[in-house]
Formats: sequence, C-alpha cells, structure tokens
Amino acid sequence: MKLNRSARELLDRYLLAVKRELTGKQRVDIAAEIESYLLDLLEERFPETEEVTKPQIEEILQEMGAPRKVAAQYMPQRYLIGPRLFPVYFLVLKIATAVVVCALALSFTIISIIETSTAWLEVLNYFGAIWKTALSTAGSITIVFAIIERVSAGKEIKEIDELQEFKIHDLPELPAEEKEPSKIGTSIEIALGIIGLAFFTYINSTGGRLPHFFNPQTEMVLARVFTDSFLRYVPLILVLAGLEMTRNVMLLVQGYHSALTNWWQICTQGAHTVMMAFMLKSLPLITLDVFRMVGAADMDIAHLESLANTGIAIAIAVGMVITTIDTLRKVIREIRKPSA
Amino acid sequence: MIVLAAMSQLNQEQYGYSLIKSLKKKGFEVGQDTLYPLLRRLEQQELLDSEWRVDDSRPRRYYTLNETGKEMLRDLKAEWSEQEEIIRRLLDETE
Repeated sequence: MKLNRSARELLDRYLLAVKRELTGKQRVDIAAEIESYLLDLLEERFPETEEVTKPQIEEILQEMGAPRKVAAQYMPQRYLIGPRLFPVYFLVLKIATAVVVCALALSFTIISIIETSTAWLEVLNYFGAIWKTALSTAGSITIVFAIIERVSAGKEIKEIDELQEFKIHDLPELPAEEKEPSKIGTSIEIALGIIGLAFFTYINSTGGRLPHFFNPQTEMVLARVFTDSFLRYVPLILVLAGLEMTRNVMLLVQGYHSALTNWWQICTQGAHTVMMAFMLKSLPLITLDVFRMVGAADMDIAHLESLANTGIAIAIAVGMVITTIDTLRKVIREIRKPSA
Repeated sequence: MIVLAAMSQLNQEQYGYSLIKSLKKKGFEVGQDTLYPLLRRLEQQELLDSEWRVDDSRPRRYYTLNETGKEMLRDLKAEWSEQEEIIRRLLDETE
C-alpha cells in the first residue's frame, strides 16, 4: 500500500489540524499515534501493491471524524467551574446576588420616596441598574471561582471540603405549612385581625382622626393622624384583613393547611404587596396635627412630619420586600409540592 | 469494563491497532476513539509502559503492563468476579 502525493498531502493536512487542536507536550506524539493507526487501517483495507488515492483517504478521514472531535478524546474534560467547586459557587452566587439586589432595591425605594418627583422613567432606570448590578455580581463571582478552579486543579482546598461536610444539625426544618397550624398562633392572629378591623373601621368613621388627651382638663378631642391619601386604602385594608381572618378561622376549624388556604394566603399577600407599592406613591400617609392643636410652637412640625413619613415609607418598603420573598417562596413550594 | 478488557490483553506487548483487532477477535468491540485515549490515560497512571518501535518500516507505539499494572489487573479481576457473582445471584432470584 502506497499513498499517492495528493492522498499523502490530505493525510498530513488532517494530522496538522488534529495537532492544532491539541495542547501540551504530547501533541506531536498523539498525532504520530493517530497517523500510525490510519496507516494500519489503510494497510488492512488496500492490498500492498495498490496506490491509495485522495478520495479513498478522504473516506477514511470522514470515518475518523472532525479533527476537533478526535483531539477532544485526548484532552481532559474542560469546564469553567468543576463539580468539586460548583455547589459552593452556586451557594455564594445565590446569597451574594440576593443581598446585592435586595440592598439596591431598598435604597432605590427610599430614594424614590425622598425624591417625590420620581418619574416612571427613573423607576425603569432603577430596575435597569438593579439588573446590571445583579449580572455584574454574578459575573464577578463566576470569574473568581473560575480562577480558583484553574489555580487549585488537583489540589485539596480544606475550606471547600469543610463547607461540603454533612452535619445533621444543618438539615432544614420542615416548612411550617407541612406542620399542623398552631391553634394558639391562629387564635392570636384572629384576635389581632378583629382589633385591626375595629381600629381601621373607627379611623374610617372619624376621617383619620384619633382622640388625644394632652390636656386632661378638657373634653376628649379628635386630632388628625391619617391623611386622606391613607384613608383611600382603608376599605382595601379592611377587605384584606377580613379575608385573612376568614382564612385563619377556616384553618382553626379544619386543623390543617390545604391547597385552598395556602393559595388564599398567597393571593392576599400578593394583594398586600401591590397595595404597599401604591401606598409608597401616595405619601404623606400621616400628619401630626395633634401637635399643632396643642400649640407646640417651638417644634418644627413640618420637619417631624416629613421624618415620620420617611420612617413609615421605609417600614412599608422593608415589609414589601419581605412579603414578596415570602410569597414567592410559598408559590414555589405550592407548585413543587402541592397541598392536598 | 473496557479498562479490564484492554489490560487483560496487555501482558504481551501490543500496539493500538493490534489491540483493537485482538479484542474484536474475542468478541469485544472497541473503537480507536475510545481505546487510544484510554491507553494514554493508563500510561499516565503508570500502569502501562510504552515505546515507539519501527516495525515493517513504520513506527508503532507498543504498550505493555508494568508491575503496578499487573497488580491492578489482579485487583480489578477479583472485584469483577465479586460483582459478577452478586449480579448473577440477583438475576437468578428473578427467574
């Protein structure tokens, strides 16, 4: 078996392509072994006297496959972050991204409250900035772990191994929904619901006023505490509190969490979040008229009002973030493991 | 399984192509894309020795089991027999 000139040239070109895909000291040696295999194969297929032509070698090379594929068989498995580091990488990625996104969302919410003139375009810009930061955080963590992967290849990393050790006390508690609802807890929630309903019904009837007793000598006087902006939400607050109370009564009667009670809670929490978002846009929610009425002339009441409303806005924003996370957690759990 | 099959044939010197043929003759088919990289990995693990030699006016790389490789082959054979026995017992239960 002999190769004619064009066949030899084609074989050499193929071997060169394989060599270019290989790295390390052994690339020449590997290419030589592949050549040896191909010549053995040709020797078996073609009689000693026959001259192998270009189309014939082309057929053999097609059987072998692309040079990249052939070379890949000799290379170690390549990955950015390997199975040893991946669980720790993913944990760090989740925590860091969540912390950065929540912190940024909170700070933007506060800014948008303080700067009352915040336009919708700016809100969109905030979301863009949050997305950009989340991506760059995830990217930076990925790069750091990819570097650790390269640097620590074949070495033991004590800290990583410790993180992956299994400890019984690290096992998660069963989610509350999988346990029976606490009778005492549910009863307290019902009682609080009744108090809440009574309170908001009362302020709705007084136009946001509450009695004050700064001067015990005089008759009881009502002072404005809640603004008209807040009063607009009172009917909705009453409806949501009523729904939540009804759900708690249902839980107490049936004695277990069902799909209905769980989705009921998800819906009311979702409605709460939406309402809180609207409330943030309706500042001021409270007024300190009571100080004006008692004639506290030496106090900067307008400044105090502004501070009080900022405090309330921060509390609402924090509540919104917590409720959103909790609602999402409940939705995911209910989808993954639906209640009966 | 492929490791065991390949190592079992390397008590005598063999080059890649002759090993493929020898295994095929005994009913065990394996492609060059699997066998050649495997031989290199076994050599890197210091279980095989290899050398280039010119035969029939062409260079070929010959592989053979070294002492560590022979010891490993004995261990693998024992483990294989044990596993085979367990599986056979399990399958017999299903009949």
